[in-house]
Amino acid sequence: MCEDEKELLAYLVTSAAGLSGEPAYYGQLRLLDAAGKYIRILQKNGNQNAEELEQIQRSLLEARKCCGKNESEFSERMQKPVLQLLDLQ
Amino acid sequence: MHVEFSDVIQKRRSTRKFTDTRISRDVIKELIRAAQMAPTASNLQAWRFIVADDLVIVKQVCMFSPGISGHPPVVIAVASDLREVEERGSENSIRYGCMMDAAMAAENLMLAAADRGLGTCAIKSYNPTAVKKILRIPDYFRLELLVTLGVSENETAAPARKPLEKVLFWNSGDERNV
Ligand SMILES: Cc1cc2nc3c(=O)[nH]c(=O)nc-3n(C[C@H](O)[C@H](O)[C@H](O)COP(=O)(O)O)c2cc1C
Repeated sequence: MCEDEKELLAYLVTSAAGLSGEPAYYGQLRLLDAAGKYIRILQKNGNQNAEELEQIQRSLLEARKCCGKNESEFSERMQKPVLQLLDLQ
Repeated sequence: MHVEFSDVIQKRRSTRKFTDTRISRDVIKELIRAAQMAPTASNLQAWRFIVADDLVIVKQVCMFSPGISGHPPVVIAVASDLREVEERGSENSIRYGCMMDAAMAAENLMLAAADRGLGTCAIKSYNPTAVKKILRIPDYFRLELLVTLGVSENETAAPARKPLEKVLFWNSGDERNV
């Protein structure tokens, strides 16, 4: 396993371990950040969809800005990366 | 470079993106000295500061701390020495005193860092079992919080504060009296 993969795994497991008692939106934040870390791993491994992944990463960061602040805006912004994923070959 | 104190308070922001500039131990020692000058209940001074500045160890701590962002070059664990608390403190020291002492020390440290143009972030989202093991923190130290430290990569705006009228009460906490 490479370092980045171990980092992602540790991030997922420690997030699951630590989320009880945290504000509910921290769950969304952790999932977004885990997705971001996974995208970076794919990019480092020379994924053929590098450009599309970069766009998805940007959309996730845009959505992240209103995570925990404005739920409806967050849901709306999250549709973009969902659709971008749908288009991914 | 030192800044006016009122500016320091404004300037301290939670940093979540660091450059890879290393921070010298002399500077870190100054920050810990500033932390030591914070008040402690019964002047207990039961805090202990475990500084990780070895990048391999720092990386491990970050890996097991989902709340840490932005690759800090230094992580400082603030812990309470419960052996000393049991000897010299009281039940209340364990219940809340030490935690408050640690928070006050951490704020001093973060302000001293801001005064030197450095960025910090208080961190509570970490896995205590893993962090204690990585930093070889003995069982009788209670981990209170982590503080990340380094040079901020960018300046971040302060998250909005509530209007003063909402948080300030004169002479009475009764809202009808405001
Ligand atoms: C006790 C405590 C725990 C915190 N834990 C985290 C954390 O795990 N991760 C993080 O990114 N920020 C953490 N923060 C930073 C807060 O999110 C931050 O102080 C707040 O949003 C206000 O921003 P400012 O510090 O820039 O003024 C913590 C702050 C405190 C006081």
